[in-house]
This record gives sequence, structure tokens and C-alpha cells, in this order.
Amino acid sequence: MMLKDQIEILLVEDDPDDLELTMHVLQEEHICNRIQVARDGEEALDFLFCRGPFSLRDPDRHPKLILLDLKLPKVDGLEVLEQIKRDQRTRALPVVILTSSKQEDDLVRGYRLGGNSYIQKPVDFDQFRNTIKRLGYYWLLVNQPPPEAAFDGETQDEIPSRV
Amino acid sequence: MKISKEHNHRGRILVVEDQGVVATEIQRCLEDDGYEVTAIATSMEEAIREAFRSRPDLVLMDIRIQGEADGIDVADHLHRHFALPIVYLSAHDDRDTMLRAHRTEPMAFLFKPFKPAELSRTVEIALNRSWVEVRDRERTFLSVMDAIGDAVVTTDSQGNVRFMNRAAEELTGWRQELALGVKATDVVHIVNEQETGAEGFCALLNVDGAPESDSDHEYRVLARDGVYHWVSIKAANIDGAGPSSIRVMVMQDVTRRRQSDQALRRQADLLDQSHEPIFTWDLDGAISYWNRGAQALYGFSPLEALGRAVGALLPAAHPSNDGAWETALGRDGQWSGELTRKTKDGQEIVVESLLVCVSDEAGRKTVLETGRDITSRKGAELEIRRLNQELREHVSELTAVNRELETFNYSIAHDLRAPLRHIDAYAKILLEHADAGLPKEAQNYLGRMRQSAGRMGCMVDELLELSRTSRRELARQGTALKSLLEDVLFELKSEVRDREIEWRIGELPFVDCDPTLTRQVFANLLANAVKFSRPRKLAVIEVGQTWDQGQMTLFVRDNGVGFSMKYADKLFEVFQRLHRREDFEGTGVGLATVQRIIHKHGGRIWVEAELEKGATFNFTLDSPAEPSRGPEREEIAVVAGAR
Repeated sequence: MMLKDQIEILLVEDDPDDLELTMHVLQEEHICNRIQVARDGEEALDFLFCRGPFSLRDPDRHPKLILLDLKLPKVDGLEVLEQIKRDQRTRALPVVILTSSKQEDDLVRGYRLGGNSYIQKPVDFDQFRNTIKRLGYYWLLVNQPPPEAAFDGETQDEIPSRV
Repeated sequence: MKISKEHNHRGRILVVEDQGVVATEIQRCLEDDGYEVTAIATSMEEAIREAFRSRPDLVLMDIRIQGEADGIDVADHLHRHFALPIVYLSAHDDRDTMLRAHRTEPMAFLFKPFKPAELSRTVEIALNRSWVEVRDRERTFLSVMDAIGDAVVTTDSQGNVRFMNRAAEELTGWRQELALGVKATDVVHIVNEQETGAEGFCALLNVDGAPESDSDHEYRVLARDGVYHWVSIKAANIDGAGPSSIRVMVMQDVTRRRQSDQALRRQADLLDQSHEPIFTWDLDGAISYWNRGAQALYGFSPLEALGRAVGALLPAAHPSNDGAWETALGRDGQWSGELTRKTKDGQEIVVESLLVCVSDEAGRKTVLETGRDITSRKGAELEIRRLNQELREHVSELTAVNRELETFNYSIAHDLRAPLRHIDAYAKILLEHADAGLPKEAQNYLGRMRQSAGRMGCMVDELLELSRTSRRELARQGTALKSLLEDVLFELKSEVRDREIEWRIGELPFVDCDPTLTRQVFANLLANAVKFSRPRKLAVIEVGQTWDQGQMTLFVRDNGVGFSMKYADKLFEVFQRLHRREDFEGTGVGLATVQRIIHKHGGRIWVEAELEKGATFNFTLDSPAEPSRGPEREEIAVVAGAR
């Protein structure tokens, strides 16, 4: 059941150029229109947990995909990832790390914390475009989103098995 | 003391009588009985003189004689000083006089007038009594003599032995019977090291009058049985001068004392010679012994140290030391530990000390301290501690610098790549959107903008790779270079399918190296060889090994464009390029990376090249100190041609 105003992608990106270019590709390729942008980690968490300016948001309406940059002001990307994957209300959400870094540390921690995918932004724009296009199709169209039950109770102990 | 008697007459008698007739009558009477009258003295002075000269066996003394003193005084004197037996001749018998006379212990009283027979009987009884007493005294004397521990020898005026006691017999090894009449110098055989020993002894033998001793000198006496004794000698001349004088020598055996003295002295000498500081002090603090080692360490001479309070002489630099050892000495009788003290010249030294409390028989307590100067050791310990501290600081600085470097790399990766991406992206979008409207030249520029961005992206990536390589820990393991090289070639060949390349791969050894990094060395060198031989219709690329003085060298050779050797030293610097970018792509990081990897292995890399005649990169993977054995000749086998 999909509502018209349901947010499909939460794009967490602080760099205005990256934001611009990512939005450009997503819209140009008609991947989706319902994109929520968070410019730092705190804003992303506020949105996801319906806090602060998002306190009126319906917590049961989850985005289908989170595109997460790692280097973010206030709360950094890995911290955001950790909170998402630790909380039963959000841990089923697919998170794709989209970052400039190819540091092994970041890769390791990204996957250990439960990131679903890790993509380095290619320098070449054509490649970047292809990448965004492919991941959008895959996560929004090919992939079956988690059902409501995936966000219910159970214990947090399951997280490590997923790592 | 005269102890021998002559028996050639019945007795020698001195008559003291101032009445000539009486005296003559007495003399006649005595001589008739066979006695010798040594003299007839008529005064007190004469009586004493004669008694001293002739030593009579008996004195007949008239109580009343000329002069102030009466006969009792004279008799008293003779009896006391010459032990002469006295017989009084008296005409009156008042109580006082008799009482006084009795006190002089006379042999008998003869009251005038007396008959010759009376005189004879009285004299005979007195003499007999006197001789019995003498014999008693003599026996007592001999017992006493034998009982005392010192050796006693008497000689006559000629120096011949007249008497020796048992101790003297033991000392000399002579029996008295054999020694009598023998020269004392033969009996007491002096064998001093110094010549003066015997002379001093002779001088003692000839001593005149009062007792003399040579306390400074000790004599070494060789007994008949060959045993040596050390003695001190006292000598005296008794019984006056002249032929009848007697010399007495008392010799004390000091051999034992000398031995223990010597042993003590030797021990003290040894203690003194020790380089270790050794000194003692009484519990009240006064220093009682101070050896040379103590002088050397603390600077005070024994004169300066002895008698001083130890606390005053050697003040503890840190007063906290004091209480600890005082308590321990009282409780355990000893203490050991480190003391910081000041020497005479004010220098502070650290001494590892052992304090032992010793009690003598009287219960007096003395502290014996020995020690060792550990100042330099302490200094070294401090220095080591300081250096370690510095090292720790440097390590933490280094760690901090490394962390900064990593942060720097991280921001390069993130922050530098981002604008490049944006430039490329905007240029691309611009091209797409304004495709038709833009002049060809502008389109060209936009294209080159994108190329520049792309190249810089590569540079950043390679730079990151270089720094990652530098920080990587070497993981050496036995590696077959041959198969490692085949892996590299497999990847490389797929990229150069359109090229005509002859690969000459020689024998390659099994070496101890980090395979991942070594693989990168070959990959970079071979990529270069492929790249710079591109203008050749048939590129020839060789890989092999050579041996030089036991050291194995690997090489990669191509027949490419080469370069002038005058730029060879720039070749391995980051971003240094020897060719134009439009001719040969690249960032100038590859060879820098190769060099770093080889240096990490302890090896070296050098190049031989000539412009238009190819280049050869030679390198080793370990230091020359540990060469491995292998074939001496270069072996190159042509493995495959082309493709």
C-alpha cells in the first residue's frame, strides 16, 4: 500500500553540489520525485524518529531507501547508521552509503554497523549518473521493501547476526 | 740474693764491741772454737760497713756501743737489710731496752759477764738456727721461682749462669745442672734479625745497679730443641758491685702475644688495603675505624675522621634515610640500603651500604659499615629513565603526527575528490544541455575540463595509494616470483591485446618478500614498460635475474623510448615525469611507489637507460648483508612472443 505523499528516498547529503547533482540524476532519470533531503546527521535522525520539526510526521511511513553520506556535520554518517540499525523502528530500512571515501576503515565500519550497500561516488559524471540510476532502479523497483512486520518488536540481539 | 754457703769453716762472725778487752777475749774464744772473726767493729758506722763488706754468718752485737745510736738500732738495720742473724751482748736488762731488742728478732741474748763455754754454746745454737731458716727460705724461694711463669736466670759478675728456674729451662732447653757455670749468652741464645739484638742483651747482662728493662725491644731466643721464642727482658744487678755481684734476668715469653698482635696487624692492614670503604662507629656516633677505601670514597683521612660523629662527618643528603636504618639496626642488628651522602668536597654520592651492629665482650656496641659507590649506576638509571621518557614522548608525538597524516589523507580522499566530481559533472551536464547551441571550441574546452578533473582524480587516488603503501607493515613470506609475475602478466596482457609484444621471462627465484607489495612493483614496472614501448612495432619486454657478488638482482627491461640518464635521479620522485602528457599518460606516482616498496624491503632500485634505446630497471628485495645463493649466470629464456 503506497500513499501518494510517501517519501521514497531520504537523501542525507550536506554538500550542495552533490545534493544538486544527485537530485539532478534522480529527477532526470525519473527515478522518483518524493525525496526528503537532510543536510546533516541530526536532521536525518529527527526525520526518521519524528522529532523536532518532524514531530508531526507519521512514524509508520518509512522511506524506501536511505542514501547516506558519511562525512556530515553534527552527527556523522556512521553514527546515523548505527542509530538507524540499533532502533527496531528503523533497522529494517535499507541504507546505501554513498560517499567519496574508499577508506578501508569506513568500509569495514559501514558494513559492520549494518549498511546494506557501499558506493563510492565516481569522479566521472557519466559513471556517477549510471550508478545513481542503477541503485535507484534496484532499491525502489526491483527490491521488495520490508513489510510492516519487519519494524515490529523483537530484540535488538538480532543485529549482530546481520552484521 | 746469695744463696750458696761455704763450709770450709764453722762460721764467719762479726763482733761489734767497743770495749777492746772484751772484744779481744771474745775473738780468742771464738777462734778457739774454729770460727772466723771477720772484724771487730767499734762503732755503728764501722759495723754496717764491715757487715756489707764481709757478709758474716752471724753478728755479735753489744747493745751499748759508742755513738748516738745504740746497738739495737744497728742490729735492726743489719737484720733488715742484710738478713743477718744477731746475738746481743748485754750488761743490763732494763725492760724497755729488752723490749726494743726483742723486736729486732735476735737469735739470742748473752748477758755479761759470760763464760767462754756460754759464748760457744750460744753462738753454735744461733748459727744452726740461722742456717735452718736460710734453708727454709731457700726452699720457699725455689718453689716460688718454679711457680712463676717468667723465666729467671741469675749470673755472677763474670756472666756465668748461677741459677735458672723451671720456666727458664723450658725457654732455653737447658737443664740447670748443665747450665751452671756456662756463659749466659750461650744458654740464652739470642738470634734477633737485627745485629743489635745480641748486643742489647749483653748490655743487659752488664747492667749496673737498679733494675733495667728494654721494653721497646723484644728478643728472639732459640732454644736447644730448635724452638724459637720471643721474650721481653728485665735485668737487675743485685748485691752490689764487684766480684760478688749477681745479675738477675727476668724474661717474659711474648711469642703468643706477638703472634696475635701480628695477626691483628695483618688483618688491620688487609682491611686498610681494601678498596671498599670500611669504617666503624660506636653507637654514640664516634668513628673508631676508618680504612683507606673510606678515605678514597669520602675524602677524609683517618686523622680527620676518627673520633668524629658519623652524622656530622657524613651528613645524609636526604634526612629521611636516617630513621630507617636506626630502627632496623636496633631491631635486626643490621640494615642495608642506599644512602645519599656528601663527601668532603661537598659532592653528593649514592652509596649502597651494609650496616652491621657488633657487640664486644663488654657489651659495647659498634656499627660496622661497608658500602659501594653506586652514584654512576644511579646516574645511568636516571639517564635511561629520562631517555625512555623522551622516547615515549617521541612515540606519542609520532603517533599524533601519524594520526594527523591519516586525517589529512582522509580529507584528501573526501574533500579533494568532491570538487573534481562536481567540475566533471557540471561540464558534462552543460555539454548535454547546450549540445547544439555551443560552438565546437567551447565544447572542446568543456571536454578538456572534464579530462583535467579526471586526471586529478587519478592523481589523488594514486597519492592515497602511495601513502597507504608507505604506512603498510611488511608481511614477508616465501614467495615464488615466477607465479606472482604470471598473475601480473595475465591482467596486463588483457589490456594490450592490440599490441605486438615479445615477452622474455627468465628464471625467477623463490624469495622472502611481501607478495602483495612485490606484485605491485612488477605491475607498475611492467605497465611502464608496456606504455613506453608503445611506439615500437614489436615491443620486447624482459624480466629476469642476475647475480653479482652473491647478491641477486631482478630486472625489467624494455626496448621503448627510454630517457636521458641525466634525468635518472628525478625518476623516482613523486609527480616527476620525463615525457609529455599527450605522448604518455600517467601521474608520476607509480615509480615513487615502486621505490618505497623496495626500500621497505631493505633493497634498492636503479635504472639504466638511453634515449630511444629502452630502459632497464634493476632492483633487489633484501639488504646485501644476507645474500641468498643461486646460479651465477644470467638466464633469460624466451617464453612467448607477442600478444
